[in-house]
Amino acid sequence: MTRRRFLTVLFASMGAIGALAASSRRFLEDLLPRLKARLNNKPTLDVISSAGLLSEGEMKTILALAQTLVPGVAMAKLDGGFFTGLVNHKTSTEKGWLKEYREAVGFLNETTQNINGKAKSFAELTPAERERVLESMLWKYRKGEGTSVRNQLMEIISPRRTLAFRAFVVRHIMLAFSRSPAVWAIVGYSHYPGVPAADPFEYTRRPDAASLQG
Amino acid sequence: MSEARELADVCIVGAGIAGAILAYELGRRGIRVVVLEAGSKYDKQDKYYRMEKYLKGEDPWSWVNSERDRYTNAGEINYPLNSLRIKAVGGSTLHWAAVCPRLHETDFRMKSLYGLGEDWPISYEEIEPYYGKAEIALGVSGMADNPFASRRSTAYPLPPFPFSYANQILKKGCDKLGITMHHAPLAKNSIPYQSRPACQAFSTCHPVCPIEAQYNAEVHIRLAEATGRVKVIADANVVQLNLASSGKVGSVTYAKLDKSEHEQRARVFILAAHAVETARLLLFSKPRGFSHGLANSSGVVGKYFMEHPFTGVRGRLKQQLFPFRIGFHAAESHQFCATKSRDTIGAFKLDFQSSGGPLPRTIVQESGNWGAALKKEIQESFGRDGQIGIMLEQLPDPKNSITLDASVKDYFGNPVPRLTFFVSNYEKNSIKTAISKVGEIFEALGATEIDGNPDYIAWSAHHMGTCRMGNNPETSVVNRNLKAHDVENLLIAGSSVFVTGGAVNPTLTIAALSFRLADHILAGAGYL
Repeated sequence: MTRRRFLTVLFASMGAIGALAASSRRFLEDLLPRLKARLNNKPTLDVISSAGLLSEGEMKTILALAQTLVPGVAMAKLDGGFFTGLVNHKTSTEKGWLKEYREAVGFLNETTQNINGKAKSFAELTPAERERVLESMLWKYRKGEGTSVRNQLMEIISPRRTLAFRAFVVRHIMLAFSRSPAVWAIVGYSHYPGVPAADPFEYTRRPDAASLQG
Repeated sequence: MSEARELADVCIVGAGIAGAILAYELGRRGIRVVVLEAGSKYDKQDKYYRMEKYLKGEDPWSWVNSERDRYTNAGEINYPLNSLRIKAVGGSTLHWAAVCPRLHETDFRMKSLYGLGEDWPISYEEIEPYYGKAEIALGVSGMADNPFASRRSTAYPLPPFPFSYANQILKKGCDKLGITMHHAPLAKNSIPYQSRPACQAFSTCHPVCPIEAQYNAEVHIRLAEATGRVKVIADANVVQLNLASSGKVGSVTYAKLDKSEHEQRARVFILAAHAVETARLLLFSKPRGFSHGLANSSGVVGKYFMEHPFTGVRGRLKQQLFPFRIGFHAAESHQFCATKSRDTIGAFKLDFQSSGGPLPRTIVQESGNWGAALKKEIQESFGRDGQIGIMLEQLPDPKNSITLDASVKDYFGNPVPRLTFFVSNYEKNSIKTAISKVGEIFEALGATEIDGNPDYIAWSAHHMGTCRMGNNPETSVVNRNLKAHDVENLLIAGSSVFVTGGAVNPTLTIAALSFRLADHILAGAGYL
């Protein structure tokens, strides 16, 4: 190679490397805000959408969802109309919620059909089948792990409707359940804060074994 | 300003427990009393509603008026004053734990015994009969099984609340270490008492008992009003103490929330507005001859503010403790309240909690699980945290003080209280020692995850000092009979007169001092 050719190749390579570095830098500079924006891209309610009530069929799907989310022993303690009343109140009084609940119904039924075939809706599944469907839609985390890389990644890569399903409908149901007295049934308590005890000195001993079987 | 109201025999500022007991004791013995309370009067019938608010995670009392109740902080501690008091008829007993121990005999002689702080001008023996009277008046359930308590001449009026299931488990650890657990004295009805029902274990005692099985000072306010001689004026904010030409307090000016001003005359005035507001009232009332504040020739008004630093240790146990079935702790240990090493390690009291760890509600809200996995998580997480609270002594220190912050005014245009507050090395060393000792209890129980952080200090909402009593007018604000050294007809009640605070809850001592003061006023002391 002549000296002239060597210098040409050298400068060309340096230019190429420089251009690549510059574009990589631009790429990284672009990527970070995009990731950041994605991280902050929490779903928001469509407050322009109208309020109203779910149809009977839609409500059936939501009740099936609640039955899957809430442990059976607690669900049995809830009044039959607990979730119907809760959801009807929310969707009819706060704009955006009817749309989210309808999206959730659609999401549940689509996922069901993808997994179980087109013949069935989510409400028609057995409890074990519903559990399987839900596992494909929600990721789990345990207390204290909310900031783990995996969970952050899930929040970045999950589509809007997965995030919204979790942030609105599932959260609404779980919060309502957690604040209801039924949550105490899971630890076998028939007496809990706010309710007088049949025997005020029950606190001195283990609760009845029967009630602890939860 | 409206015309002066009719002359009362006694005007009491503050309708907390001190003011309530004094009003009743004086009223029932023929004295005409007016009680001025800055806060509102709540309806007894609202207590279920307030409990429901609490259960929903809301503030059941929400008493704070953001302009009226301003304060500022200085010093090391950013003290959340408004979270740790209530301005209302009933005062802070509206959200108290109702734990009613007596101070120990040694607490009255800290200077003589340990060379620390100051001695009270009265002894335990002098106040002892009034402790008994206070226990009867408040309805204290208890048992004389505390080997570290000072002599008592009367039995508790109500039987004790037995140890909780959690207490019984923690006791096994204490027994291994020779730490004595004994029953907590509680102003809660273990049986029906004085027209109030027995506890039904609503478990919401702190901040509200819906059936008043737990005592609160509204009880004595109602009794006082029933005498027909006591008038309670709520939402009456005292904005000035006025001296007459005799050199005595002739009247107080108070303002309602519409800023209308009124004058109340009386022959005797008693300030019972808690350690912060009593000092502030004196400091901003500056009649001629009192340029540093009324009754403050010593310069001690506002100084020696004390609290009880509070911390605790948590231990994860293998066995279930079945918590949250009552709202109080039924067991304590006063073993470390009067040790020989108190010159270097302060007194501390152990509160064996009946409840600890997360509520099922909290577990659900913080979990990403559902269905069977959620049930398993709750059952594994719930009820296995033992908790032992530690209440510590704080020495009187002139640095810890209430002063006026002239740069910030309250709703009525008066300077707000500024709390300058530090925790000394004495208290910090005590915290480390106490946490280590309590950690041993959990180790003896085979606990895992034993957590106790000496840097974490909470507060007990016990405000003491600021107008301390003493025989020397140069180093104290009131004398042994709670009369201001500087003003003939001005008396001070409540925890502001405490000289030291020991390591126990102060309310029973406040009540006992109030009964003693009522007797003093009526015993021909020349006030009336």
